[in-house]
Amino acid sequence: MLKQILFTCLLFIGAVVNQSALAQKNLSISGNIKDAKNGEELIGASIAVPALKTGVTTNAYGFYSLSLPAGTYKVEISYVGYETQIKEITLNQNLKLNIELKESKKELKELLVQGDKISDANVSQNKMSVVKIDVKQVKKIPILLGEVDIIKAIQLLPGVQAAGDGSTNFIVRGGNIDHNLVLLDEAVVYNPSHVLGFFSTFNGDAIKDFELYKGGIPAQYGGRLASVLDVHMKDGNSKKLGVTGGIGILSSRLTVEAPIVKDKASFLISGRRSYFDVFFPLNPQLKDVDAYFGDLNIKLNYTISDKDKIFLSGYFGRDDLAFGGLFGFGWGNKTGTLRWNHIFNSKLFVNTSVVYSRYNYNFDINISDNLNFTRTNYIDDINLKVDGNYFYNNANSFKFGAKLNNYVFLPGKIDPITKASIAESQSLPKKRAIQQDLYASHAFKYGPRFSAEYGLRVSIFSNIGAGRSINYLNGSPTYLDNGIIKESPKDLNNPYTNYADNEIYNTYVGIEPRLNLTYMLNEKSSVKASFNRMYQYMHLIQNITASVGQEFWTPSDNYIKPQMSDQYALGYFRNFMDNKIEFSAEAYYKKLSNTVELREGADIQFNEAIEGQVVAGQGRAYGIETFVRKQTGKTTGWLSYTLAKSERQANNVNNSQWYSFRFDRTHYFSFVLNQEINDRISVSGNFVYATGEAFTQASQRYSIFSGTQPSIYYSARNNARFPAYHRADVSMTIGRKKRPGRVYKNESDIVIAIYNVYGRKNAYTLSYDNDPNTNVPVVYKWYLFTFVPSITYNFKF
Amino acid sequence: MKKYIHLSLFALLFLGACKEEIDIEIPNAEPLLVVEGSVTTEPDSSFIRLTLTSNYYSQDPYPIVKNAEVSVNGIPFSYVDSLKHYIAPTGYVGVVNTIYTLNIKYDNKTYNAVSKLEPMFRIDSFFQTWKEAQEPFLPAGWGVSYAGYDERTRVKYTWFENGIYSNVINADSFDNNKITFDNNFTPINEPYAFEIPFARFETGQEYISIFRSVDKNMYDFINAFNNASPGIPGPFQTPPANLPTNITNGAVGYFTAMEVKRYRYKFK
Repeated sequence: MLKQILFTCLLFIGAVVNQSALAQKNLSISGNIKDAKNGEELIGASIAVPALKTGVTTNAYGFYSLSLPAGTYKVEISYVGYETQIKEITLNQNLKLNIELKESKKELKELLVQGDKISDANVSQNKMSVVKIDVKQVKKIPILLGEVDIIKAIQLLPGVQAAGDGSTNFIVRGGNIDHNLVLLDEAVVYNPSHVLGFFSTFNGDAIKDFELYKGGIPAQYGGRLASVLDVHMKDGNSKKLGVTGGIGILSSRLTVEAPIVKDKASFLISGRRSYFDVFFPLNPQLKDVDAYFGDLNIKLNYTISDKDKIFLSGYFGRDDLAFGGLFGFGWGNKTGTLRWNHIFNSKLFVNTSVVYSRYNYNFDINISDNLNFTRTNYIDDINLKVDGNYFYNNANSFKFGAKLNNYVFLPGKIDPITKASIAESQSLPKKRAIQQDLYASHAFKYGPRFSAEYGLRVSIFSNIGAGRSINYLNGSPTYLDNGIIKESPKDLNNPYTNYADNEIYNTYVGIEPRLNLTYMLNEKSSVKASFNRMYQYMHLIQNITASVGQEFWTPSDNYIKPQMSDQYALGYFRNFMDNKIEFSAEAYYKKLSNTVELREGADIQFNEAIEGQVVAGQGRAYGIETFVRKQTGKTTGWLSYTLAKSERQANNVNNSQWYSFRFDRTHYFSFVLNQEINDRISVSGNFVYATGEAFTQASQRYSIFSGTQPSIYYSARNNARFPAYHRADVSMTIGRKKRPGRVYKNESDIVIAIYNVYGRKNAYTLSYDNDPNTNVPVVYKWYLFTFVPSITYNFKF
Repeated sequence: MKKYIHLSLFALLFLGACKEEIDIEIPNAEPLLVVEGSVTTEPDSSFIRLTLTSNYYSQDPYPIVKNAEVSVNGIPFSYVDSLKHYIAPTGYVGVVNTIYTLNIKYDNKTYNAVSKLEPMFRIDSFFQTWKEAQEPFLPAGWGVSYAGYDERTRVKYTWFENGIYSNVINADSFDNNKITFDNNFTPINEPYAFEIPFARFETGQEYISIFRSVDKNMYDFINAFNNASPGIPGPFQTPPANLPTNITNGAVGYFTAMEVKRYRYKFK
């Protein structure tokens, strides 16, 4: 069957490619498009020939290849926020053309590409369910405590929402928190949060560009069900020394970037540090709380030749919280990426990377001389990947690649802190896995109206030794007792099956087809459709409401099957007012299989039998998203509205009935506005309205242990709603006073912001308790952030 | 300990956090039978208490079920109005390593539960050591430790409560917490000493501790009860879930068999 599919695909590729190739023999222009000021490569920049109504965009490494018949052309090079360049070229042989674009002095004001609207990208590009926000615009969005945060910005986009007030955890089209693949320079960031999830790991000063795929996920991405957040760090200024920084009420940051060899090699180093440990001792209530977060981004790049470039980047982040020296916890991400870009010829671009990620978490207890220990867990992820782009002609391009991952999981390790501790050093057995991924996709245009990209990703995931798996008495890790799912007892006669070093003992194969289609209705509007199947072999086990604490990643194995999703999407895209306003409406349907849900009463603390704590479920999510955005002029911003439903079901959970996903929100509306008052001052505002999240409502109360506090009986899961969530934030950015005609080397501004300006008491959680005065049973709503002002000073020179 | 973690994280997280009462409509539902019962190794202490669930907002006392037929391993338990629960015939004592089956007939339905009476580990002595203050949680004072010896196989479970004698139930210093632990992390077949955490005493005070061996069902029930206790929600708050139960046929609550050992120690 697979052979037949491949054969049919090859025939189809051959037919399409030949049809295009026979039409005309082409030459090519290829090269990189960069920022003239700092040498940063621009991702998604457009290079077009309006006369031929043809054009391409740069790939994730700033490379492009445009095929044209011999002749003389006016080539238009454009990128949002940069001045458009028009170059006349005479093409009589393959041409290498590196281009540097100057940042628009008017900043996002009048950036329309005139002429034939080749840059009408959101309509014409064969991409849907993909969103991108300029980092400069992100910096203007008012954010909690003034910390610039790309994740908080994407939570204002359709189909994306925060997992709780102020949280950086995000939900995409009804997926779970761990269904999002978060990449920083190709490395997976397993926990992209600081400070219990209220701030993200991404330092706005070190980020060049990011893109969020909610659907229509191309074949080069895999491993998570719901989305891909692909974040690229800046390469480092290759022209001159640049220093940027900021002083906020939560943390300060400093970034230094400079050429090592001008236009050939550069570096960037960017750090952030919180002040908690400075200010908490001043507060009597918090003087024994020791809290800290910090992170460091570094990057080096070196252009070896016109054809070869290498990059080395890394991220190191750490959070620690401790209380009175008695207990504490901490977590950290480390990533490292070594990348080699090689241009074989004007049509073939290949990137080879070695990528490392580690996420570790520790929980420490130091209560007494003999009751103390530190408990740690981690995941190590190292991979070698090769990604290729072959630009056959303007109508046909191919992507292909391979990836080999090696994972090591330490589910738990306990070490005594002192010699007198009764805690014995012990470790749960490590788990190892390897994953091999192969993908290929073909993007083509058929005539002036139709374009398509179809691809296939094959993922092969294997558990390997040394390791062991538990043998259960009834063969299954769980059983049903009195209507309750419980962990099965081990087979005491043969409790474990042991596996030798490098022995493959379990394998899953995922066939993941991907499809994107675009049909241009006219120059200003198009319809698009997409399908993607995704497999996820890594699962976040978490039993808490915040993003840290009792959590760790565990692989699929012979008991926990891989999660899978199929997503279908259909969209209408239209631009108005000569490209000034973008509009899109998308409908999607997503089906989830083998979702990993914790059973009631699960014990995930230092428990080897994690498969006995989870149940496999299924899910479905569907909705309609509308989006209107204005990116140019003095007034910019967007309006977004999502109508959605997301549900889950698992056998013997909620009487096996479907129930609302916790973050199912029927309505989700957001409004973002930025208004430039003059050259110095701009104001911004957000407004968010959402249906309250689902919660499990008490049905009855009863008394246990003769206690005065009630025990609660719940009749159904997630059967009620919090009050509606809404909030408005405002900010004002005041730049440095400038005299006309004078050139300033330094720039600075002050951002004054207020989060939740009208002090809405949005529910974070509910609790059931007796009123302390009347002893009458009541329900309490807990809320976190009301009217949070902040001030940040930013500088750049 | 968990409670302190909650409080501290809460202090950090919820600097500006507040709570306010909200109105949520909770419709009436058919009451469920609530069972609390234990068979213990202490003479005449085994009991079964039966009540019914109420609407969440109800301010009436929980209805007591007085007319059920209750037996354990075929021995009938009788309702005693002054105690408001069912008790075994005089002199009844639970026996270690025996499996006990509870049978209740009420309102034309039959409810059952099973529990094994597991043995407790041995405690040889208690001793005191002076401890400096650990701000902000503990003042300076006497700490107390026990010397134990556990020759049971793993995994066995213990339900532990302690406090100052004469005020066990309302012992504020321990916040009336029910503590559970198992012998996965303590030595087997060798003597060891263990200091009671979060405990400081003054000279002259008398300390009491109660150790109860319980089975896995009861261990899970107490843990779930502790986790689900209303009060301050924090980042470690687990999603709402019904307490597990080993009672069949739709009742809630627990039935457990356990060996009970009580100790007293006076600080010198």
